[in-house]
Amino acid sequence: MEFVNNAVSGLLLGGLYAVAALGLSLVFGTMKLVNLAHGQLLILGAYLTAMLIGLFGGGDPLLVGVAAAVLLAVVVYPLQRYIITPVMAQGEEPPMTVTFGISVVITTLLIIVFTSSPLPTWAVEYATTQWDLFGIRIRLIYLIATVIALVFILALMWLLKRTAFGRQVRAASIDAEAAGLVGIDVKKTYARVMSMSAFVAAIAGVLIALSFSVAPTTGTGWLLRAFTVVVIGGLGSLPGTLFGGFIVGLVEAAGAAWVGPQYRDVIVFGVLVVILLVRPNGLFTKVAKA
Amino acid sequence: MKKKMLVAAAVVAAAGLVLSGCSASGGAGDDIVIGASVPLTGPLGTMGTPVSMGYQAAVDEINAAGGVDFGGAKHKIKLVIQDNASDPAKASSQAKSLVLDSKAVALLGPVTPPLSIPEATVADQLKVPFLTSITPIRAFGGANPNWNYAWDVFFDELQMTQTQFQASDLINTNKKVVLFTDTEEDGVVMGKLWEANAPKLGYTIVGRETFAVDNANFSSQVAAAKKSGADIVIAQVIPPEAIGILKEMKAQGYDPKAIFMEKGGNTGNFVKITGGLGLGVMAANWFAEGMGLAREKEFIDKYAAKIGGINSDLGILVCGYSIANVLADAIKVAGGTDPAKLSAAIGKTNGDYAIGHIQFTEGHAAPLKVIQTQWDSNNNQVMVLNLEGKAATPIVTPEAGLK
Amino acid sequence: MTKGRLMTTSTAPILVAEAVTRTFGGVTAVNKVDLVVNEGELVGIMGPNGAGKSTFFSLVAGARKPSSGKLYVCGKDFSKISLGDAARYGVGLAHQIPKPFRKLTVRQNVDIASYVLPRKRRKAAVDYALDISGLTDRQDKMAGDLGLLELKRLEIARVLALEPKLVLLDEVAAGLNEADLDELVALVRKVHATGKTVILVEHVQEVIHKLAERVVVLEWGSKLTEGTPAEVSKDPRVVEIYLGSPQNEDALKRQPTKAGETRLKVDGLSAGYGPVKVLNDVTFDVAQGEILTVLGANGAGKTTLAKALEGMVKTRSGSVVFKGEVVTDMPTFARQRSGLALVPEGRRLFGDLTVRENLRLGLKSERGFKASHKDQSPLDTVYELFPKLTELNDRQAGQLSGGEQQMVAVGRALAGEPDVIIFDELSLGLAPIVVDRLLEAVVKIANSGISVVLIEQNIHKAIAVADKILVLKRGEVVFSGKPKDFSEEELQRAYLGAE
Repeated sequence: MEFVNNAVSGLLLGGLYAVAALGLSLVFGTMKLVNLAHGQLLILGAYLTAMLIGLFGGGDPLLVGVAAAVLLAVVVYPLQRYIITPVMAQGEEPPMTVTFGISVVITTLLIIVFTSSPLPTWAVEYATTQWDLFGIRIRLIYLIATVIALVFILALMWLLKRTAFGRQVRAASIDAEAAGLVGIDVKKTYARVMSMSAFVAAIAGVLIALSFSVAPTTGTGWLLRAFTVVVIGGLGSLPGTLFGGFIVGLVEAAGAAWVGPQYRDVIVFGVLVVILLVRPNGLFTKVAKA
Repeated sequence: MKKKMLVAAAVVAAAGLVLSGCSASGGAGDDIVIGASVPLTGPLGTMGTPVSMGYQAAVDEINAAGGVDFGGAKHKIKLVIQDNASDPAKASSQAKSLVLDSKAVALLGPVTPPLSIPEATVADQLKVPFLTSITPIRAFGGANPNWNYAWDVFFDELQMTQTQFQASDLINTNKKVVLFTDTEEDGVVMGKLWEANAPKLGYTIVGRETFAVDNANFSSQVAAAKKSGADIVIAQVIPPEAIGILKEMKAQGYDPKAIFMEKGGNTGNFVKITGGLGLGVMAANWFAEGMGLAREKEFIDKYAAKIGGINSDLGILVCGYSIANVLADAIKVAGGTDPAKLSAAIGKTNGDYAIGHIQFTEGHAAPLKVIQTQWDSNNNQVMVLNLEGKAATPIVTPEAGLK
Repeated sequence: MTKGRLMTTSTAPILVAEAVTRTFGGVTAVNKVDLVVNEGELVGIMGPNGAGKSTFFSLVAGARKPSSGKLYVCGKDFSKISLGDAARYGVGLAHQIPKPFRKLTVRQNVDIASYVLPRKRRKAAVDYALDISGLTDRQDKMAGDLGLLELKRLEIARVLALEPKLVLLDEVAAGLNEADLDELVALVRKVHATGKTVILVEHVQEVIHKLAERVVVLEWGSKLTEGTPAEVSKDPRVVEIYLGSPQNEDALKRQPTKAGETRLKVDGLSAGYGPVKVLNDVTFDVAQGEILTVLGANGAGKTTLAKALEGMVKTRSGSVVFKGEVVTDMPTFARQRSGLALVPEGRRLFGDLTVRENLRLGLKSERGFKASHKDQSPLDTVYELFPKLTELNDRQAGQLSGGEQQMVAVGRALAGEPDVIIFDELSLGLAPIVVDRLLEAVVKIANSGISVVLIEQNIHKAIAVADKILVLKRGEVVFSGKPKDFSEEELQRAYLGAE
């Protein structure tokens, strides 16, 4: 029974991991940009939500989180448009360095404004509600996260597959120069994608804060976990991100049950290394045609 | 040729005279530079801030009174505080630079072993007196049993790991204990001490849940703890872990009679940070209302509001204040800032300070006795176990925040 | 099969194919092909894109194995040998796009190829290969510094260094101008004269006609016919599928255009990459409905001109005025939006997207987040021009043949309702019939009032459709004027460098 419990909790937690990784996956898949500030964007989403709750004098964190997500999307747009995109022409490292710089700035600002102690947790019922279904523990917040992950992934897939904007994003990701030839403003498109990524990240940050806790420095750990999910799921593949989240959640649960909870991270990153060795492009990418 | 060499020798000699003259004439009312590399930002920033406030408060008081009196003159103290951002590498390089560039004659320490020990090592190498606190003395002594210039004022882990059982004696429990420890060094050390102390004090450890630091998911550990039926939870964790564990306990409906969260439970505003879940969590402390310290009320009135309540942050401030005074007194006793004499004078300290009696014993450490405190709804840590190991304010049980 | 010819050439067959078939998944790329090539022959293989030429060649070169049928090359059963071992049995393959080690000298490159030989024979083989391919005097030059023709020579030298019995030439004439072409033909003749058997796959008809003693025509993976070049070109089926019907020539005739407003005016344009100045002081203009054909040898700056006009290469000096507005500093996407379109060299389609998606991306109604399904009318024009695209709508663009891809590329540009279209190397690597169809489309486009800048390798056809001609040589304009003033002399001056 404990085994089933572990598996279910791992799987649902995987949903949370998937949302946390989704923005990273989107940005990598479309711009080939490894956004090292992604972890900090997650955390910043939670802090903005806390700020807005303070400003509004209350409110449900997830609902206020939507407003915070919009705010974060707006803030991130010019960052991508005027700071990251201009250095993207110079190769892969300069934009990575810039995003790393942004992550440091975010952390520092958060410490200055909020101190380095953890963000006060929101006392909402669903954050600590657990259902007992025939002896299987289901934490409501993980379930909510999994549902949100599914909704976001389906919405993003629809957006990319079925809309003009999606076509532009895909075209720009295949050949940015040729995208200009069909009238796509690639710089604007990139900024919009980064905004979307930040929106999803902010919501994910609220979910993380509701499930666990966040402090200005917790972003790095989540970046690493999100990166693992993205690599396992296949770099830049959206449905793969969901599966990647599930796999990381399950591997964590299995590792905790069989080897010991203190080795959870060792096992997860061990699996990551093995996958990188065997399938460098991730589990869910098609093998390149010969 | 010969002439040239003579000139060179003269220059060298003159330079030597000037240099030695400098150090010898340090007493003529000159300022004394004391350096401190503390974590004002980063994960330890919440502890580094009050300790530096304590340093500053002590130095301001001393300077207001004219300075440190020795050699027939009063010398003002110039305190140079630098932020090491909780980074051990930065802490040691700053300690070095404070001595070599800022010409600090002594150093006040940061907080916690990961930062204190690197700085202490630098001080020993440079032969500069170093005085630190918020660094458990066995961890300090374990890193180097033969410190020369470094000194530490804080609690003894052995005594600290008894207080949880002593406090539990004050309430009615099944005497079963579950430990939550992370895989950091202090988690490992404390876990072993609790395991050793429990049987001697009549308690049974029924489970020891371990996890890597920064781990977010505690579902299996809490499930196991709940299953073991323990009435007492003792944890050695950092704040995010404390929050994660409490959330999972709430979710799984596990509300033991007593929860001790050392280190993580000593964060200011703990009840607020945990969204109320932390109400009733206990933690060891070295400063609280009713301890019977001489200047207790003075510090509470002056700083509690600024710090956010009567809590261990206030205790850290008082610790910082106290060791800064220990250093100033030692300079007076040593009659100057000669490193060897000053270090020896620190070692001879034997007196009452704001944090209590300070006297160094073996291993260059002065142990402070700890008490147990419990978080109340006013965001204060209330003493429930006093310095004699006896009941103070009654313990509220079971833990209120998880109801 | 022409029996007489078989008798005149030497005796033993070097290649025997019996019902050779190769499938990829469900697709049959080569379908029951029978072929016998005797030692010392020079055989050409032709066929439209997708006819299976390259696949058949890869089987003969031992890079793939037949799915069924018998294939004997140089006496070995090629359905049984290890992949890549063909060189040991005497088969040498020269690739369409030579990729030598650029940092090594010509000789070192050839040397590496000779490693299949026993140590003692290597030096002699390399000397011989360099001699035959005419590179002896350039053997110490870095391969990276070679021009296209020299690269092709090097590629052939690398093949000769293997001491092959059978030499396979895969579209070695691709990309060469006509003067270079003659030299290449001479080189192949020389190789053949040394006693090697040569099989060549070629798009450039001229090369096949000049070289091949016997031609095999493939279509849809099967052998359509076989014979002398003369016989084959008289075969109506070949004319139909490959050479194009004669009446197509008429379609390329232009009505003389009435002088419309000036759409594009380029004045003193200079551009380049890093320290290299590729375009220098180029000036021209194009009026409504006009076709300006831009000619020039490889490296003359034609593609750089196209890119500079579209904002993909930064302009150093000079100006580009489009519809009265200076667009010199405008980004590419804004130029497209204002009606200045480019069909780039190599097409640059979005391979993972469907044909429909590729076409729709160009539409004006595609801007912004919403997909507007209303204004599809520019696409109607595209489908009218290339009816075939209606069938291909849901295919991934990357899976189409080169000709089909080029249609999509042209369609994608038209979807933006442009006033000027620049075509960069429209016919590069395409079969003649496809080229004709595309040029017909260009003429129709111009007749509809759109101005055209046509950058072409296919000199005579490009001149035939031109209203104006601009010839570039090393980045500078050497001729600018009407086709009637453009003499063969001018052409030679541009391409051969005669002053």
